[in-house]
Formats: sequence, C-alpha cells, structure tokens
Amino acid sequence: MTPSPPDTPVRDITLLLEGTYPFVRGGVSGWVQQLIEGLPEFSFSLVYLGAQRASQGEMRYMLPSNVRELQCHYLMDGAELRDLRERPGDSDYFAQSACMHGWFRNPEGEPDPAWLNRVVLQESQKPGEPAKDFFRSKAAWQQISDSYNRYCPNASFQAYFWSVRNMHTPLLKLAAIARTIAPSRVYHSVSTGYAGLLGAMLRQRTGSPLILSEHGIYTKERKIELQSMFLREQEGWFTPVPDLGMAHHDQAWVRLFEGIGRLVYHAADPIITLFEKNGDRQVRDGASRARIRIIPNGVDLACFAPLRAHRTEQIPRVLGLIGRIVPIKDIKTFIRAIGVLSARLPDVEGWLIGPEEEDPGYAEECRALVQSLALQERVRFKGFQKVEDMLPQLGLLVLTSISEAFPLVILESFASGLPVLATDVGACRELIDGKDLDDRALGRAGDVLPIVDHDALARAAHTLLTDPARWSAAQQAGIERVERYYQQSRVIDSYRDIYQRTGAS
Amino acid sequence: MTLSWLLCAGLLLLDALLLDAWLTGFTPLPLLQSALVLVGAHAGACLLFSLALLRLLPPPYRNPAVLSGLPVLGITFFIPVLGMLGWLACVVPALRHPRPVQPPLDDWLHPPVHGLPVRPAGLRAMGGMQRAGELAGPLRHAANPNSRIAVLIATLSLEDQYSVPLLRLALKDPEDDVRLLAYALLNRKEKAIEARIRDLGQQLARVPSDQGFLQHKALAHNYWAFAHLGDPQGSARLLLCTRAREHGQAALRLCPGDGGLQWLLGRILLVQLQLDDAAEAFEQARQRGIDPRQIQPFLAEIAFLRRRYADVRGQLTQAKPGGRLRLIKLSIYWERPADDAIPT
Repeated sequence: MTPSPPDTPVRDITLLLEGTYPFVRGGVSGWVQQLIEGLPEFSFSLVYLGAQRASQGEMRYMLPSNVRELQCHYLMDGAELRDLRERPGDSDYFAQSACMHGWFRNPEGEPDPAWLNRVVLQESQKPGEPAKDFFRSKAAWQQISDSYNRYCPNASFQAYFWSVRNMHTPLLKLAAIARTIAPSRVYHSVSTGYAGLLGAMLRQRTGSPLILSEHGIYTKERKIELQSMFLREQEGWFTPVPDLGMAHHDQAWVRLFEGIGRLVYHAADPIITLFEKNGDRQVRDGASRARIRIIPNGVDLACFAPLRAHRTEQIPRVLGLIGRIVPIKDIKTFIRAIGVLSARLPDVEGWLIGPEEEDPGYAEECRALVQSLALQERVRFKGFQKVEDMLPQLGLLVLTSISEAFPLVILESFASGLPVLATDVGACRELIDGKDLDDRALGRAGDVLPIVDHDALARAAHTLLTDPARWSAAQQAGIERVERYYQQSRVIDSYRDIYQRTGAS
Repeated sequence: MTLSWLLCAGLLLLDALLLDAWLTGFTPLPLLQSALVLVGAHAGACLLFSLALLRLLPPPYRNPAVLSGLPVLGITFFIPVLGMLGWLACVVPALRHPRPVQPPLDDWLHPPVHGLPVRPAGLRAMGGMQRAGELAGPLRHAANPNSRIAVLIATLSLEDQYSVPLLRLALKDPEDDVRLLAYALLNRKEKAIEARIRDLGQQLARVPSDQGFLQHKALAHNYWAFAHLGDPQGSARLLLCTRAREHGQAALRLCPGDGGLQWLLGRILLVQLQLDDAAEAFEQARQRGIDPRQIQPFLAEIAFLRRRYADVRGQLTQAKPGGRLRLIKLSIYWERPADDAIPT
C-alpha cells in the first residue's frame, strides 16, 4: 500500500506502531489484530515505524478488511542530503533547540510550545530545511561543540558528535513523516517512543486527540537495553567508571527516551494501561494520573474454551514456554529448570514455542546451553506455532520472563484449561493469585516464582505435575478467573467507548 | 562596659600625649629623669589599659586574667599608641563579633540528604570485599530505587567474585528497573564466559587429543567461573562444576605437574563434597609448590565437614589469614578456648 497524500478522506483511527504489528509477532501485535478485528465499524489506517528497510521481514498478519492503508517508515535509514553546501544556520532555531535540550536534561513542568512548534514540529520552516541546517550549518556545529565543551570535554568528540547526529536523525525524519500522514479523527499510539512522539506531533499539528495504550513501559525497556549496551566495567586501574556507569553521550540516549516519554504523556489523553502498577510507573515518568485509565487484556473465550475438551485424561509431562526467543523471556532459566526436573521426572519435556528470528544470536546461545546440559532429548525448539494447537498438548504453561506487562498468553492458557507457572513480574501475580479478595477466593491458578530461579521453577512444576488434585484445582481457578474478569468483549467494548468519546466516528 | 571603653580611649589619648612629649622633648627635666618619668607613665597607662581592656573582651578570653592581660600589656608597652589602637580598633571588635563559624540553625534542621552510595566504587586501594560490603547496605536498604541502581553501576569496578553476589541479590529487588539492570549485567558476564567456552571448545576439537592441555585448563577455569555466576545453592552450579572437573582432570592427565590446576581441582571437588579426593588434590597441589597458607583454609573446611573440629583450629592457625577479614573472624572463633565457645 502506498502513502496517501494529506488531502485524502479522513480516517477514523490512525494506529501508530513501532517495531510491532504487522511485521513482528508477539503479544502486542496479537492485541492490535484483535482490536482491529473487534471493531469493524471503524476504519483504520496503520503507520508502521521500523529501524531499517533492509532488515524488515515480511508481514506476519493478514490485515483485516477495515484497515484502509498501511504506511511504513524507517527511521535509521541514512538521511539523503543532496545539498552539501555549508550554511550559516538559523540562530533563532538553534536557540529554541538549546531550550529543548535543557528541558530534556531537566524535564520540569510543561514543555514550552515555542520550542515544541519550532524544533519538534518544525513549523514555519520549509520541508527539509531543519535537516540541512542540522547536518550542514555552522550554527549546528557551534551548538554541538559548545555542548561538548560544557558537558563532557574529556570524552571522545568523535563519539559525542556521532551520537548527537544519530539521536537527531530519527527526530528530523519523524517531523517530515508527520507532514505526510493523512488526517484522522483520532491518533492512537501503542507505545511512547518514536511512535508516541509521532502521535504527539500529529496531535499538535491537527488538533485531533491522541490515545496512548502502553502495554510494557517503553522508556523502561529502552533504558535497560541501552544500559546493557553502554555500561562498561572498569578497564585498568587508572580508568575511572563514570558516575552513571556510561559516557555522557550514551547517557544522553536514556535522557532522550525519557524526555520523549514525557512529551507523549503530556500530549495523550487518555493514557491506557493494563494494570495499576504500570499506571503508577507512568505517573512517576510524567503522566497525569487523571488521564490514566486501566483496561486489562482479554481473551476470546469462544476460541479457547473448546480446547478444554481436547485435553487428555492424564496431565501431559510437558512444560511449554510460549513467547519470542529473546533474552527478556529468560529462556535459559527455563532450559535449566528442565534439566533439574528431568532428574526427578525422566519423561518430562520442555517446549519452546515461539519465533527465533528477532534475536538469532540468543536462540543460538539457548541451543548451545541445551547441548552443554545434554538436554537435546528433553528440550524442543518448536518455532512459531498456532497457540490453539499447542495448548492442549501442554501440562503447564511456563513464563520465565524478567519483565512482562500483562501476558495475553496466560489468559489464553487459563481459558484453555491450563495452569500457569510465571515469574513475579508485571501483572503475573494478580493473574495467578487474584487481584482482590473476591478474585483470590477463586484460588491459585498455578504458581508465582522468583525470577532467574530454575530450582524454584523445577520444584513448582514437579508439585503440580505429580499432584492431579492440585493441578485440577489450579485449572478450575484459571477458568473461572478468565471467564469472570478477562473476556475480550470487555476490552473491545472499552475501546469502542473511548473511540466514540474521542470522536473517531 | 561604657566606662571601660571611655577609660581605654582616655588612656590611649594619654599615651599619645606621652609619646608626643617624648618626641618633642617637652619636659623641663634632664633626659634620664624625663625618660624615667615618661616610661613609668607609659607603663602605668598600659597596665590600666590592659585591665580596662580585659573587661571589653568576651568572657572566654578574660580568664585566666594574667595570661590574657600579659599579651595586651606587652603589645601596648612595646608598641606605644599603635598597640592600644590595634587592640581597640581591631582585636576587640573581632573577638566581640566573630564571623559565624556554624551554619545557621535552618541548615541543621534540614541537612541535605545524600543518596547512597554517593559515588561509584573506584578505589582499588580498598579491598574488593570491603567495597562489596559497603555496597550491600544501600542495595538492601536504600528506599530510592535510583540509589540501588547506583549500587549496581558501582559494581562495575568490582571483580566478578565480589560483584556477582550483589547482582544476584538485586535480582530479588521489588523494582523492575533494578532487577532488569542486575539481570542484564549478570547476563553479560555469563555471555562473555559462554563465548570463551564455545571458542575453547572449538579450539579443543581442532588440536590432537594429546596436545589440548591449555584448552582443557582454560575450560576448567571458565566453567569454574561460570559456576560462580549462578546461585551458590543451585543445582546448575554442581553441573558446571562437573564440567570444570572433567576438563581439569583431562588437563592434569596431560601435565600432572601443574600445582595451580591441582589446587583448582581440590576446590571443585570440595564443592562437590568429594572430600577424600579434594584432600588428595590439595596435597598434590602442596607438593607441586602451592603456598600451604592458600591451602589450609580449604583443609580446615574439609576437617569441618568431616566433623574433625580439633583439626579445624590447627589448619586455621597455620593459614595466617592476613588481610582476609572473614577468614580472620573465622580463625578467631576457632582459636578461642573450647569453654568459651557459643553452643549452637
């Protein structure tokens, strides 16, 4: 599909998606698909933001018929600058830009509309001019040099310079993208980050409301990713570790995403989150509590309830982990747990059900671990499979994640009559143990475990797999919980209501 | 008080007149006599000035009176006029109105609260164990998650043996950010060791079986380091120790004279509770030149596990723990007389 010019008829809802639907499988992508399919009365336009066109895979989902268009943009593809002449640069623009940098360093209070319009939205500027100014002007060079001398004169200038450039390139692109997006009654971003920032820009430009639905906390996930990349051990006796463990220009990336998060929270209303703890975190990160609304995930019971009839009489000695094979899911703890458990239940199997393409290196490490623990007969890499086909074959669903929000797969397991063992992250505890007294009275639908503790996981799995009465009680608790609290129809109704109230139809 | 001021001022004036008389020769007496009269009058004025000035000094400077008065008398006597002027114009006001040394009361009531830790660990001069101990407190008790994150960042300057227990502790933190960072740092260490193990495994596959000493030795050390990244009580540790032992033994078959490797093997076997084999490995290590003081603490542990408590004391006495704090404590405990021991 090709981008539409800005004067095409207005769409009801433009969904802003970064690194997810429809090109990457996962919980958020599944949720987007359900949302679009569940609201056929609205027309959707999709804007997908990816990193590089070259690394983009094929579409993983069939777009529903109410999706009118899909635009794809790639933020890390090099900026094409044909005009390489030196320029003086607009000193007023760079003065506003300095104010914006000051706010990003110390984000107190509301963002100033002056720099928001001038620098972020690039209003009253000819298209492409800010990019030319940033890449080729003396004023830009002066601003970068001044900042370097002021904040990190002992660091490598080369590293600083390229960090600054790499940080600004996607922002300049986003401002250009915002001009190409067709008008829409409502903009809806599924994360903060670049997609959220695009939403904030569109909100500012068009006045249409911006809805933000945050599943995980984007800023937090980005921060941990950056810390893993940039934190450095002390090298040698005379190399001091920087106060924040990383160089100033690396720390600036963290500040960038924190600042973007704040900008998006300022622009979005409502801010939808999946559970209360995430809402608290959003408030800490700059969101207004009055705008936060909690809408938990839900599951399509009509699809999963019939799977209960396909379960065998005996509890299958199979532990399944359904999810992408990526470090945040801590697949290695699952593999080690299977190793421990197999010493007591020799016929136990562990199935890793999920795509491996997102981090092939990690998948390879997991395979090497299976080999080094001699578990080739016990651990199977199933790749991507239809969840409905897998669930009846499992004895327990396992989630060893280090960080989760509100895993849809837990609800799907409950609905299909499968107890769950999950780490104590995100909303896992309230899903398994219950969120309030009434909910807790339904019983435990599995067990909650500490993270990175394969022994605890093996013990809990052994207890449930070898105690049919307990397993059945957990199964029943899960079924009742999901039927009472987590039906997909509730989620769809909530979003229908939000879309109608914000003027999408 | 006012009288003292007036008296001092009067005496200053008198001293000035006496000096003037001396300089202008305004006395009818012969020189010696006039000198005696003027000096005597000057001395008297100085004495009276000193006594009056003492009244002007703040109370802490008045006593003892003799010791306080002598400097005044000395200066005013030997530096006529200017001495008195200096005391009156400079010293007394300075002492009576000192610059406040302490901060205003408000600062005491609202002292700035520093986050913990206030700076990353960076001093190599300080022992790693001591730094790790310093950091464990804030990691457990600091209320602000950013302080606990600062602790994790501070572990970057520690060696793995000290940083890993802190990172493992942080995995149980209630805050997502702390847990995630600890996991990421542990994972990075684990990945680095895994990569070395993979690389060495590939090298080992390429060399003839009788020439793989270096690879086996390095693999034993890497598996041993890997075992220490995990939960000390965990089953995975035993599994990794088994791999470390296999490679250690393979290396020793190729080069039996490596004392360091025997010492490593002894420690691995001790973790696996193969006490006889561990003792034998430590003995081999000693025969091949490893300092017995390095071996004694492990022999003490073997004696403890065998319930030969009398031997524990002997081994620890010989171990000379030096600067190793925990070992010193342990040593002190075991070296106490038997009747002083705390029943457990």
